[in-house]
Amino acid sequence: MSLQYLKEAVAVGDTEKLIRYVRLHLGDGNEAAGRKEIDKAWVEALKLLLDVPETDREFILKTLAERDAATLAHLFFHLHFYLVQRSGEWIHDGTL
Amino acid sequence: MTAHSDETKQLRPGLWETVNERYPGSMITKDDFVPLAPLRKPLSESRLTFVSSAGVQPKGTMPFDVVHPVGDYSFRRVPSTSNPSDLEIHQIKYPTHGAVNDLNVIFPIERWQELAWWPIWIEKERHFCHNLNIAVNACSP
Repeated sequence: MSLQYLKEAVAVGDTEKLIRYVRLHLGDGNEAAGRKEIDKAWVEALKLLLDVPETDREFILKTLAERDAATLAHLFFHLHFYLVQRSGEWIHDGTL
Repeated sequence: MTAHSDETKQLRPGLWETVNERYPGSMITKDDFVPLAPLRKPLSESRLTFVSSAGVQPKGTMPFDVVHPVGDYSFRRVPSTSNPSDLEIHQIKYPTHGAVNDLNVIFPIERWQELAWWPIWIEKERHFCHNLNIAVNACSP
């Protein structure tokens, strides 16, 4: 699965290939594990907001308004791993 | 290492099945043949440089990006005089516990320093390390 493979998938709108790549990445080579990892991150994010704590919305809105899309997408991956690590259930062999 | 090794117990079964899919060409198989480069000049005139994909880097440098979906193509220069305590690991793809206890198991810098008495000039400031987590072919235009 090379970049060319992924770019061709983008070109023809083959999102199944793209999401499989993401799941393999997040699941460290196991697609089913990757699917669980995505769910795990969202559950962790939800848990953190259930008590409606005060959050820095000014920072969020400023970041969204001022940063480029690629940086935000990169941040999205960082946030995934941050939340997964925070969940306490770490499936990866190494560390961040 | 082969893509499928019955002798090597994996932490998660099935890990190898998708390695070549994720990182084509990254796994060396028995069919691959990489000839060794012959030494063409005396050891005393030779320089040694260590290139590693272990994710080892000097503390204080920008951590290798282990979350990026396509990988991190950057590298860090590791001074050959570094102590293991000067270095740290950012690598998500292999267990780092052993390497944290003794960095030499993945980045044998002290073993190299022991070679200093050899008639070899170990090039200072020129050990390189990058992170293994790279989607192959991504460097192609």
